[in-house]
Amino acid sequence: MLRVETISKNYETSEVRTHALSDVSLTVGEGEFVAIMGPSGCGKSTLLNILGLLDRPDGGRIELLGEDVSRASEHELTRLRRAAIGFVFQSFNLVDELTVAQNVELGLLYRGTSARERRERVALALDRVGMPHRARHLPKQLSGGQQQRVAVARAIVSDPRLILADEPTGNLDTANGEAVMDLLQQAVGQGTSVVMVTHSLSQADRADRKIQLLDGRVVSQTQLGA
Amino acid sequence: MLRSILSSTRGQLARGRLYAVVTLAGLALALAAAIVTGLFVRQQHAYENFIPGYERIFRMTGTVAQPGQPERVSAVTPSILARALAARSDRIETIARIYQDNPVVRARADAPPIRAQGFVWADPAIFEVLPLASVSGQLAGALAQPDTVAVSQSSARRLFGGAPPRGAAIEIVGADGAVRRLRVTAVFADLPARTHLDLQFVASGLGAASPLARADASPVPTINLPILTYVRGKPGTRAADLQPALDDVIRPFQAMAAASGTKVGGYALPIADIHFGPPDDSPHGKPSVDPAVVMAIGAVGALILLMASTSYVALMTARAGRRGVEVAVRKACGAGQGQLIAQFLGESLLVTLVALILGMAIVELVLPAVNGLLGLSLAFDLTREPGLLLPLLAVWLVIGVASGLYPAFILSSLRPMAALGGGATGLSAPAWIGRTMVIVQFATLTGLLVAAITVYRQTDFAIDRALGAGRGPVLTVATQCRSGLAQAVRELPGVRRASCSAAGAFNLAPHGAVTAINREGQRFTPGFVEVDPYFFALAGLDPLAGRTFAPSRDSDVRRGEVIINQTAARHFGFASPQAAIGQPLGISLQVGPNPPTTPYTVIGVVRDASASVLEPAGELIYSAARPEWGVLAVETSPAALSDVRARLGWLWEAMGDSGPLEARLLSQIEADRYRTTIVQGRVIAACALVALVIAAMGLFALSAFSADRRRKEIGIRRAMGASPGEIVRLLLWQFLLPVLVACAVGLGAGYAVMRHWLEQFVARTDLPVWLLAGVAGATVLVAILVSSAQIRAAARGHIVDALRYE
Repeated sequence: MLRVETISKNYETSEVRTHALSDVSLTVGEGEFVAIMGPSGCGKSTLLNILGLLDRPDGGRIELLGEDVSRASEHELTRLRRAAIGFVFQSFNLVDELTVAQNVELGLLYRGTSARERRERVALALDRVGMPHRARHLPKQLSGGQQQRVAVARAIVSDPRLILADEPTGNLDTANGEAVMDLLQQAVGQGTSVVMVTHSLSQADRADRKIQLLDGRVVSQTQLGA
Repeated sequence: MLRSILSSTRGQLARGRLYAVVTLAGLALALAAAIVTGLFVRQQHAYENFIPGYERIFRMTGTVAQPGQPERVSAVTPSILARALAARSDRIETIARIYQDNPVVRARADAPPIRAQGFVWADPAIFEVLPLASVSGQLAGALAQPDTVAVSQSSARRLFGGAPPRGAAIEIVGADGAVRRLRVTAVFADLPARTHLDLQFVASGLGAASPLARADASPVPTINLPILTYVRGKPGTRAADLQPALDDVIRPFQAMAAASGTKVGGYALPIADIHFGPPDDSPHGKPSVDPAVVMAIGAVGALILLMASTSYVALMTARAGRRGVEVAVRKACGAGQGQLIAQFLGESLLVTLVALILGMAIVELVLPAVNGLLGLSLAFDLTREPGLLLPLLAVWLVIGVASGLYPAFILSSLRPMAALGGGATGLSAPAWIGRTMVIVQFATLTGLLVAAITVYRQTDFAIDRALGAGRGPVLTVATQCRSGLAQAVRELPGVRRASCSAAGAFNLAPHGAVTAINREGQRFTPGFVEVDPYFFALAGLDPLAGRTFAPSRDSDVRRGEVIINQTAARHFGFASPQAAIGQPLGISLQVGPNPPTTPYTVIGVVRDASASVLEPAGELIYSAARPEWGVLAVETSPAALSDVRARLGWLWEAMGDSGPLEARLLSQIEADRYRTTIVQGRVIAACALVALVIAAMGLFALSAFSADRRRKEIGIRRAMGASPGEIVRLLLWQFLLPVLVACAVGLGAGYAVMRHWLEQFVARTDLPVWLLAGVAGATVLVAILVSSAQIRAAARGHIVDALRYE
């Protein structure tokens, strides 16, 4: 499903060069739930952005759905992102000016889905995350937990092959965090691969595999619940 | 505190340099435009106020309304009016006449002669009526002796190279070569542009050489000489106070004119009202100006300022929305609300002051060019007129305080934790402010574009209708027509046609009038001009029926054959131009109750060629004769123009009049006729250009700000699979929607206003749909060009950075 080989990423300023990732290799299988852990600044979010085709590595190879995307054009990356990937961010990243339904619809809008089908799938997704009654609300009218459930609905509405979640429970209380984890596990149960960055050991333990990063390198990979 | 304001302002400007430059430059430009239009309006309302006691100086004005014709207003008065009025009114302090002339003058026998513009013969009391500023000599009494003259400073410089030496004189060279000396007794300061007076040489009307003296000596009162009568009333005199005496003088003329159904009248026109008064048909008269147009130009200046100010206030307010955290930190550090209000108001006043200073600098830089382009003499000198600072300070305070209101009173009232906890989210100014700003700016822009283009089209339309339009360049020279000059000119290489005809035929002077009787026995007074056989071909007046005069048929003159225009044919009672051919006309060359008539026969009918699109065409009769004095018109080709001009000069030396050759292009004379409209068009076009720049800057700044504000949203949409192109289209559409609304508003308003403006013209252009569509298209194109760069940059930005953006 997803394979990265010896990717690296550096950030440079005029004074300093930071190695965000060095020779990172990993694979994510179909319907697999992978948790990435590590201390702040170890490169977790950078890795997730590269896996989500939001950023490009400086070196190495990325293969998504059997397709080498290391040197794909921006247009090609957009097409793949649109077709196969859903995102859940720590800070929700809902568009303030759009309603809940319109935010969820964003996951379909750029795929050329018909308006009727979009309506149906948005309703279904909101139903799955328990937010159908909030469809016409604006994000600022929701609690943090509700906003993140909307973000999950937006990620799953298009039935992506891969969901990338960057500390999805980082801004939530325990109860809401567990609810969001349940939603992600439901998605995995339906065959979607999920890669999640988290600081929480207990949440990482709900994944199939746990990858430990330190200073931009993979230091360990642990298969869980086998 | 001041240091804090200064450093904070510097920091704010440095944080978004492009944004700061664009908003500041837009406001500065608008302030400059408002200052210039303000100066223009002020100057237009300050006509004649440099003359001491101008409030009680009047020019006598006559009105004539022929049957079925609109009333015509004339500044030309009978020669006897001054004496008659002075004898009848006790409200008159002084009265004096001027006779407008343009003789050939020179400083001495060996000096080059010049055609004297602004030359008048005047009663000695003229400088008591119009007390001009003296540069040397005493103006009061300067004309007390015959053969004396007072000259303007610039004319003295032109003739004598500076101040005239003691005992200096100018020589008037007559058409017959006779020379008359006029002793220079005084020099007066050049008149400013804001006057209807054209005075360069004021000669004593007492001498035998003076046409004023000749008119006074005539046993029959003259009514059609270019004599203007000015009255200086006693203190407190109003125009109405002079009316009874004027009515008393006019009464006999009214009775005489009534016999032919003509109504004549008169009134005293305050000289301050001449500029905005009815058109002045005297030979040296200047076109009058519509006060509504001047006010409209002032309103446009104010609108531009309003447009830039709202844009500036909206953008500064929007930008202030990002300073919530700064407010919280300042409060956490102990700043009170009062201090924050002072901080934000101080900043906005400081930034606005920078814009004002820039605007004043722009005015200083562009004013000479503006004066040159528009033929104005606007001055912006704060050292001479410190009072100008007051409105500028008021504008500065209003804009400065308005742009600081939001941060000063809303942001400063925030609780620190609200801002620190939520960042700047929710503190941004409402989006409708930006949209409203775009609508106001682009509606103003499209309205001004419609106005500017319509004024240009109407001017072109008017010039295209003029005589000789569409032909090659036509040089005109005032000269005697009975010399062989015209024939000699026709034989010059490069000359296509040449005609020497009455100036009135070319609409370069009023038509002489005759009395005519139509087929129903009604009297009317058509114009009557003498033309040579070459006139019609040169003027482009092909016959609608019959023929024009033939060069080979001198019998046209002998047989009393005439050509009439369409309007004359209608008023004579002919059903069609064809019906007039071969018909006799009863015409008397005298004006009066029962003048003897001379039989004439119509041989042709030509189209109307009115002098101006402002007036309906009058009845005109063309007689085949070479006038004693007229205009030699020479048609050539653009390529041969300079050669023909040079050859004409040589021919003039050999067989022309005694004065210098002064050849003017007919097209230039026509352009001068519409100078007021052209100036108005240029002012409106300049305002439209400023509006375009301001609207473009405003949209640029708004698009930059909005793209920045929506950076995170763009990142989210990109992460959701939107391509940069889709983002560009989405944002562009959102930007263009208010522009489209603005186009609808601006085009509607522009169309309504300009339709109303066009109605003042008897002959006018139209406002086609393609023009409105073109303006809308150009406006939308500008909006796309201006906003797309920022939007494209934002849409192609780094997604990860955008998602992290707060």
